[in-house]
Amino acid sequence: MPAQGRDGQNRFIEFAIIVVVVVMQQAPVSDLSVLERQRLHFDWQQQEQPSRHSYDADLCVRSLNSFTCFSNGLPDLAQYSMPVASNFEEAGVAASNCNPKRRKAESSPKSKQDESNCKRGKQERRSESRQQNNRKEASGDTSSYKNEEHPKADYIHVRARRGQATDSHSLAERVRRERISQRMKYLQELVPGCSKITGKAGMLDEIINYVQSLQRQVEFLSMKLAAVNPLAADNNFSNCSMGISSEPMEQPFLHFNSLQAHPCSGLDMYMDSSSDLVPDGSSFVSCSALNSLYGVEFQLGRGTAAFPFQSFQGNLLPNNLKMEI
Amino acid sequence: MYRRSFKDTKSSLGSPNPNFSKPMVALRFLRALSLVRCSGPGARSPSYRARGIRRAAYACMAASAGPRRAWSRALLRKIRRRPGRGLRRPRAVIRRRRPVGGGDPLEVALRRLVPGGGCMEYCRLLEEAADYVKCLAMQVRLMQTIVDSASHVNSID
Repeated sequence: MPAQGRDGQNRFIEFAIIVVVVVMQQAPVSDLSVLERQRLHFDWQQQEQPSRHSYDADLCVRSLNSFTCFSNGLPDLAQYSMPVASNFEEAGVAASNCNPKRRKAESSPKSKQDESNCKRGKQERRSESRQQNNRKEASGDTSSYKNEEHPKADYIHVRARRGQATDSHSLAERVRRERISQRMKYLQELVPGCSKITGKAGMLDEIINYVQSLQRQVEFLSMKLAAVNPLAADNNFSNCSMGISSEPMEQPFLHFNSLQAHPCSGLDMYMDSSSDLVPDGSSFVSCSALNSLYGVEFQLGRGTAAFPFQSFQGNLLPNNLKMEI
Repeated sequence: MYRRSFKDTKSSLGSPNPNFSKPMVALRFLRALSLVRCSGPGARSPSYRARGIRRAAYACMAASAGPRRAWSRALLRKIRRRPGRGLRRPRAVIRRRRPVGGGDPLEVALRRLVPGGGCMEYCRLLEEAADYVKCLAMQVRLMQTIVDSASHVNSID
């Protein structure tokens, strides 16, 4: 074949390649997996191998096109560029450069020439550099070729745009997730028996059960209260409580603080003050309730169980009885 | 009677006291209890009184929690809706700011349980749920001690 014709053909073919590649760069990305792409590519290459010499240009164009096509997801365009190709060796060698399998067989000087020929457009340069990298790194390992090509191709076509968005989104989401996990930890401490459970779903389930059980307990206790004290004449009690509330709140509580140390003395003081207000016997129930309540509340504030309440109640009653008498 | 008790609790709402003041809750509740009992010890059925006691319990809990909590406000609103039917203020209340289409059934259940949980974000929902659980647990303990003391005193007599 004459060299000049070949050069003209070279340039024409390369221009066509550039045009086709540019056209296909603008096409949308498909959902072809990398494996599928590679399989199609290799199948196509293997088909073309026996007729290598006559269709070298075709191979070059088609391989480049198929490469970009598959990265764009439009394999049909590879056929579109077929009539453009013509026969010449350098194109064929360039085509063989595109093929990873053939790279190993190629001698280095030839491949370098082809690289210089093929390097025209940005896309071609990218593809060639990628191929160079793959040639250097992947010695017979096609999987690494796939792995390298896929992220690079995607990154350039798609992820470059998404990259900016995901940063802010991912940051916000991370913050939100941390907040949620903090609150879940706090809830874990509140709800008894949740320290063993890990995972949001189980935790939520436990919390829901706990809230439902608490609400049921409130209902049950309110029914019990309604049943237990139907006959208390509580006018005096209301006066008593009003009197207590009108006083500065610290005083009776100070009494109860001392009450923790010396139950009897504090009680006496409190009972004296209350007995002045309310001589009636009915208030005894309510005031004792109040006393026990405050005592228990202070104890509960420390996180103790109701057991000390029982003992406290034992101390309470004889004093009250004495007062009553 | 219920109105009076709720007005009393309402007047003391201005204090930004957190719910750690257990004696306050106790006082409020006992006062409300007395008012409930005053209304009619023999005339009303125990179930009616039980309902009134339950309402009083929730009202005291919400009142002592403070107006800063979303659940306490929602709870008080729900309780006071019945008595104040004709006296509603013409305030434009923005109720549903973001009706959340909850896909998680657990989340939906939690929203139904916690008062005022329909319009909150998930983070806030968890926060409010934590506070609500704390107050509920305290209220339950309070009522338990009252019942215990009352029954104990009665049994001694």
